[in-house]
Order: sequence, then C-alpha cells, then structure tokens
Amino acid sequence: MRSRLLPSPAPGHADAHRIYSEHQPWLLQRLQARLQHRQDAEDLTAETFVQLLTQPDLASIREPRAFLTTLARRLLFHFWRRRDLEQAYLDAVRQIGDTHAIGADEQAMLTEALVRIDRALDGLSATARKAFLFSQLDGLTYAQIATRLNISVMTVRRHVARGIACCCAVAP
Amino acid sequence: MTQHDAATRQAIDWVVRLGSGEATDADQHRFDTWLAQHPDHSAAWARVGHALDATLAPLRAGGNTGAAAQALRQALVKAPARRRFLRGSLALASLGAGGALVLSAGRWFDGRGSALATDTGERQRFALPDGSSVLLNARSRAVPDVSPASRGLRLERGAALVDAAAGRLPFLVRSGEARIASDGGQFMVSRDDERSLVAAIDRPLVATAPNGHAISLQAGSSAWLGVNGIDASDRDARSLAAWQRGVLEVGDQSLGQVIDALRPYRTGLLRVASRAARLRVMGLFPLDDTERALDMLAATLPIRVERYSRWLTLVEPRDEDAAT
Repeated sequence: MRSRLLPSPAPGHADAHRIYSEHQPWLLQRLQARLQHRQDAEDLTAETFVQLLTQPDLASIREPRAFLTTLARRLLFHFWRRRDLEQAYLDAVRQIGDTHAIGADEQAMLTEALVRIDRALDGLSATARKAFLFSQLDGLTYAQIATRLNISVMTVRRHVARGIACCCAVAP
Repeated sequence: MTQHDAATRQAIDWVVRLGSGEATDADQHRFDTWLAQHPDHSAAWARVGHALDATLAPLRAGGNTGAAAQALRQALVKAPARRRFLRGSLALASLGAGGALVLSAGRWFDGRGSALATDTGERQRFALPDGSSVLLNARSRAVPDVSPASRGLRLERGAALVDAAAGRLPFLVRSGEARIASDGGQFMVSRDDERSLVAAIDRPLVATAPNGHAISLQAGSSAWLGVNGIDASDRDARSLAAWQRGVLEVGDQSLGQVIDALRPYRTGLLRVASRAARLRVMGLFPLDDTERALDMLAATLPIRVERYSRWLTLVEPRDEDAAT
C-alpha cells in the first residue's frame, strides 16, 4: 500500500513548492486568526498543502490564494465539525454516566469512527439520522419510527433509503 | 450525492422494502427472484450489505462497549449542524474579519503582555521576580503570577521545568484545573488537552487533580492529574524532564506518544498511520534533530518514513507488514 494521499514522485511538486513558499506565511496568518492554537493553524496549513499536492495541473492555477482559501475553508470546516462531534460525544458520555476511563488511543479511534460516520451521513438532518439508525440498529418498523419521530411513514422510508445510499457512496 | 448504478439502486430499494416491517411473503419471493436473476444483483446486494455493516459497525454494541456505542450514536444526532461558513464567494477579507470572534474568546491572544512562550524547536529559560526560574519546552506557553501575595505560574500549553526558589509562600503551578504546590526544588509539569503530568525531581511536592484529590509526590516520582483524579505514572521523574538537555527518553511507550513528543520540535505536519502508532518504543532520541530521531525510529521499527519536503512527513507501517 503506497501512501494514500500523494502521487509519489509528484509531477507538480516544483509548482507546489513554489506556491507553498510564496503563500504559506500568508495562509498560516489567516488561519491563525481563526484558531486559538498556533499548532492547529500550522497543521491545517500543512494539510492544505497536502491537498494542493493532489490537484492535477498545479502550474495552471492562476490565483493561488483563492485556490488555497477554498481548500483551507473546507479543512477548517472539517476541523470544527470534528471538534463539535467530539464535544457532543463527551457530553453524551457524561450524560450516560459511563465511568470507564478510556485511553487516548481509544478516544482517538472513537473520534475517527464518529467523523467517518458523520461524513458518510453528510446532508442528513438529525431526524433523518435518527430514522435511519432506528431502522438499521434497532430494527424498528417504519410505522414505529414514524410514531416516535412524529413524521409520516413515507418520510421514514425516504430517510432510510437516503441513509443507505449515503453509506454505499462512501464504502470502498 | 453519488449516483449509483442500476443494480445498486435496486439493492438499496430491497433493503428499504424488506426492512420496513411490512414486507409480505410475495415481496420476499420477488426479492429471491431478483437476487437469482443476475450475478450483478447478488454482487450489488452484497456490496450494499457490506457498506452498511462497515459504516455502522462502531455504533453496534458488539463493536465498542455498549456505553461508547450509545454515546457515539447520540453525538451523531446531537452535534449541532454547523453552517458551512463563507459559502459562495471566496471572501478573502472575511477570513480576517470573522477571526475576531475567535480572538475575543481566545486563550492565547488574551492581551496579557507578560506571557512566556516558545516556538517550534525552541527551549528557553525565563527568570521570575522571586528568584525562581522556568524552562519552557518547545511550543509551550506560561503566564507567570508573582505578587507579594502569591507566586507561581499558569501553564497554558506544552511543558515547563520549574526551579522554585525556597520562599515564604509555596510556588503554585496551575495547569488547566490541576494544581501543583512546591516549597522549593525542581519539578516538571506538562499538559495536553485532557490531563497534566507532574514529575517531582529533587524535592517532594503536593499535586491536586481537577476533582480535588491530592497526592504528596516523592522526589523522583511522577503522576497524571485528570478530571477523574490521580493516576500513578511509573516513569522516572528525571527521564521525563530529559527534554531540558534536548533528549527524549523513552522507556516503553507507543510510537504515537513518541511522535507527539517530537512534534513541538518540527515544523510541518508529521502524520502517523494508526497501526504504526501502536508500536512500542524504547530508547533515547535527539529532540533537536528530529530527522535523525525519525531515522533512528525507522532503523529499529517496521516503519517507513516518507518525507515530502520539510512540511510533510508520513510515518507508515512498512509494506511487507501492511499486507494484512
């Protein structure tokens, strides 16, 4: 298994390097203004350039800063979404009263799993997610789900279908 | 959303119909017929089933502990939907303007001019007005608090090695909600997002966890302070503070932890594949030359270090081990 992200002898490497050295300080500064921790800003800046490397035809990019902003914006969104999810998970653990101490490794794996499922179900509302999970995890009938969520059976059906389609879209 | 091929769409329809709770024998019969009709159908059916299993496995009680699975599930439906900000135009200017909101709540940009801070790869010693001194590890930050009524500092990030001068008042370090009090002597405090590690080097000290539990720590010993109380650490206090000499001393730790300790000394992204991160490591590694440290790790562990210039390094399991 070669590295997942990068074409190994990257043909656009020189271009990426040029764009990086010209615009990295600018991007870092922009991200730093949005993030509390310098480390996070540095990581996201680096991630942005990782993404840049995967773009075909780097030489043709005319507005590197606009391009970098687009990439960085998406990463920043994912970064914040991950934090929201982590927080919601910790809130849930507290609420459930789970007192098992879990290690940092395990926590990281759970967060990864959470992010992965959340991405898979991207675009599904909270209600749609509930309907989908009631069906797939609890085996409730659509009529039961409809009653619980106070929506129609047709809507439940649509949510479940959409959820399944989402899972199929991300699975390898 | 991705457009699925016809067989996949039909398979999805079947999952939906058969899972409705209202499927009849006739439905079941038609499904059997569909499944047998064409190899593409059975392949699509298997694919959809696999996709559902793979995606939902962490939420099933068998995959994680029941409580974790339940919490993951709650998080998934409760995490607030965050609007994709800056939708539409590229709005370069608003990156800066929107940042003001973050800044006002920020801990690092709080306007106190007195904060002590180090950058990547930097260690620096600072003298404090009471005669004590503090050595900050790379990428660390502390705010001193020395007045006639108190002395100490608040560790906001990273690690600090304190040489507390003997004095009338105890030297108090706050690290998150944890507190460490010393009557003088050398000790080390480091913190991550969740907890703090304290090491009493040459004199005993008193450490208090966020939940109020306190421990008297003997010279040479160390402990973790977290929201759930105090956890013993079996690491020798001096080896935990070896970074003061630019050395990372590793007894028996995961590669992930070792890499975490190298991060403050390296610009750019250093990413470890999760399977490699679990490998166990022992040894001494140079902090001030992370290239060499990575080479040393690669020489003794089944890993491959791929450097894509100074700003991106990937640590992965070696190919022959990655086959599983």
